[in-house]
Amino acid sequence: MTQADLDLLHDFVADRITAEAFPRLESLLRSSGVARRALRGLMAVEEGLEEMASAHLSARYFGTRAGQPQVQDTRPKSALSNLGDAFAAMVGSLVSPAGLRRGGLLLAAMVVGILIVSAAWRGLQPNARPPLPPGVLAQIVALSDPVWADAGQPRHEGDSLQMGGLLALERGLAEIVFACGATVVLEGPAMFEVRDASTGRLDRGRLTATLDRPTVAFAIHTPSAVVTDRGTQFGVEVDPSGKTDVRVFQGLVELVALAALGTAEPLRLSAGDAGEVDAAGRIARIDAAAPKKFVMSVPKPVKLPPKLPLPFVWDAARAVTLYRDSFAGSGTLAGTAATGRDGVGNAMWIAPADGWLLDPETKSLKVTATGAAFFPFRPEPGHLYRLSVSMHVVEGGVGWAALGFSTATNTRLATLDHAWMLQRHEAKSQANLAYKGPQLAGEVSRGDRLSGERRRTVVLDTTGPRWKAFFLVGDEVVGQCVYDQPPADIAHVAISVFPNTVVSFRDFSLRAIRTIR
Amino acid sequence: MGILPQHGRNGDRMADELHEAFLRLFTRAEPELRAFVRSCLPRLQDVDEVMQEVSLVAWRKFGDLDDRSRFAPWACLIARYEILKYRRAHARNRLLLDEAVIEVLADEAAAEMPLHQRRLVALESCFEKLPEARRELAIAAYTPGTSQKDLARQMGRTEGAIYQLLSRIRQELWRCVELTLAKEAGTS
Repeated sequence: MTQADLDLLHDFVADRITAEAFPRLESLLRSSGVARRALRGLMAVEEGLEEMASAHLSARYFGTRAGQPQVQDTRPKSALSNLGDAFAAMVGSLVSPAGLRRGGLLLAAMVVGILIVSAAWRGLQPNARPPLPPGVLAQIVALSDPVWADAGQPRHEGDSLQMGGLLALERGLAEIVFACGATVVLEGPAMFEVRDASTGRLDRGRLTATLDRPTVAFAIHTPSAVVTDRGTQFGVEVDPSGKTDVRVFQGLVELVALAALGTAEPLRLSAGDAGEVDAAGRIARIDAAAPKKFVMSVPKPVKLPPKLPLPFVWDAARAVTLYRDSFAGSGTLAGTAATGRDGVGNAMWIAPADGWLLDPETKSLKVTATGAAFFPFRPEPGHLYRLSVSMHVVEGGVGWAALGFSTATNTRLATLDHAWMLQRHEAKSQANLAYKGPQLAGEVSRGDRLSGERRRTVVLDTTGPRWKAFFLVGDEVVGQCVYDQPPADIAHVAISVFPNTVVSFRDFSLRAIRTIR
Repeated sequence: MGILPQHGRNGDRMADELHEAFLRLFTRAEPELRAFVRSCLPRLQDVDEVMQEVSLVAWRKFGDLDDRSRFAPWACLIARYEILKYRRAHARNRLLLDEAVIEVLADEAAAEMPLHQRRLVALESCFEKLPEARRELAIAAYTPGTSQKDLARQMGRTEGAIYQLLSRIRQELWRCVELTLAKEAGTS
């Protein structure tokens, strides 16, 4: 069975098969027992994933935990429950686990339905741009903090590039549009040359190429290889030895060693695949799971609105500290004491066993493993609560760290429940987000791109009949929300870290002011 | 479940016992039955509708079932009939598989019903082998209340990219499950 056959079956399972493709599917299923078995296997995967998500809900609402038996459910579930419950939703607390599962099925179908409409290539469409002027092979359309190497001339947004046009980018990002419609995002340090309207050469550094017109070919040459695509998105990296590393994010790419161009069959790489050609011209498929981070787009400058007065009054003199940790200790965070509301170090972190370490030299918490750390906390009416931590997302690309309120303690997952905000490593268009909740519902941020070490604060205002939350970076409000019903299931405050992300936290605190009304 | 089979004079007690027996058997067989239906009709709304009919018909005919140890294959026959009935009712305006294809799928799915649990168990261990980020994405994607759009924003990706990632994850899991089952078959 070919990959195309498998994709066809997958489209059927995902309910996104087209009327044009349907006869081919029927023919395949009629003629191939292997395909029919694969269909059943894919269906089982779909069902299993739905079960896993529902297991989180069950764990949340029925109190089951890893290793505990599931009442009236003899199906094997061990690992399904082991991931915990951090993604549980507010809905469904009164229905049975089977009902929850069915809800999950319906939602999955809705998700698939949305995807049918949006279509897989939608995400690849660059912003609609007018065609380049006649005779122009390529044009620089965006730059982000560029520093140009001595070998090249400084470039500016809007510059046209002719044959041999060179970009010697020491630092920063440059986005180049080719006349064929391809877009290249170049990440410094890199040396890139425009060859013609549909060809570029990368001598060193890293780029991401996107082509949304499958009818034309676009090629990137490197010292060791030629990468050709016909409507896809891929990343290329050339190291100082000339070795070429290719990652395919969407579509299909052909990779061939430069020395074997025209004589050898290219290596065909599809979405998620990776290949390399070393300096000696040896070509190989490599492990795509190894982390490589490619920048997909140049962030557009954002004009933040002017600072506004804080929409709440914080009288620090009246504030009581509920928790404070300057992370001055050493060793694993889990179980270490922070200052609790009685002013002594008796509050214990509930935290992952590994990868959350206190660094006594920098008085910070260094996190290299996904998960979350918690303190118990239940908000009461009539208070202003100020939850705050300084966070620096050191590595991780789109990975992030977060701060906010949670209902349960799952130390293995990063998504929080209510009034929470995240900061990414990359300062791109969706760099930092804030959510009203539950979980990913109710995004309220305006997408600030403030990276580096930042103090982030969530203020929960329970003084009125409708609770409010304010999200601050430094002393600037970047988002806010109002709750029609108080999120009464808040039971913890938390900091969290997404997988494959390295974060440094400093100076955590939760303070409260009781307001007499 | 409002339709009761015909009972004798001690109708209430017998009905209760019969109902309880039916529920116990149906609950136990439901995951396999559902998987069976789904292998012929992938769309969830279709599966829900057919399963509802299957449960009603099975309950109506339950009194006729002599050997309750044969409940699963018996219910499977009902499901097969209901799938075909559903197809005939909806094929005109929907993309539903040809009746002959459904017949073959149903035959094979019935034969593979005992395999269903092993598939799910294998899936669990395969899921655990996924990198953490992929596990988190998969769980988030299937969690009620989370839209693909929300997820894409949280991940800093496009919706298309998220879909492609999920597609890769599903296919990777499927390959792992098949490999696991093949190894089990080789060692048993």
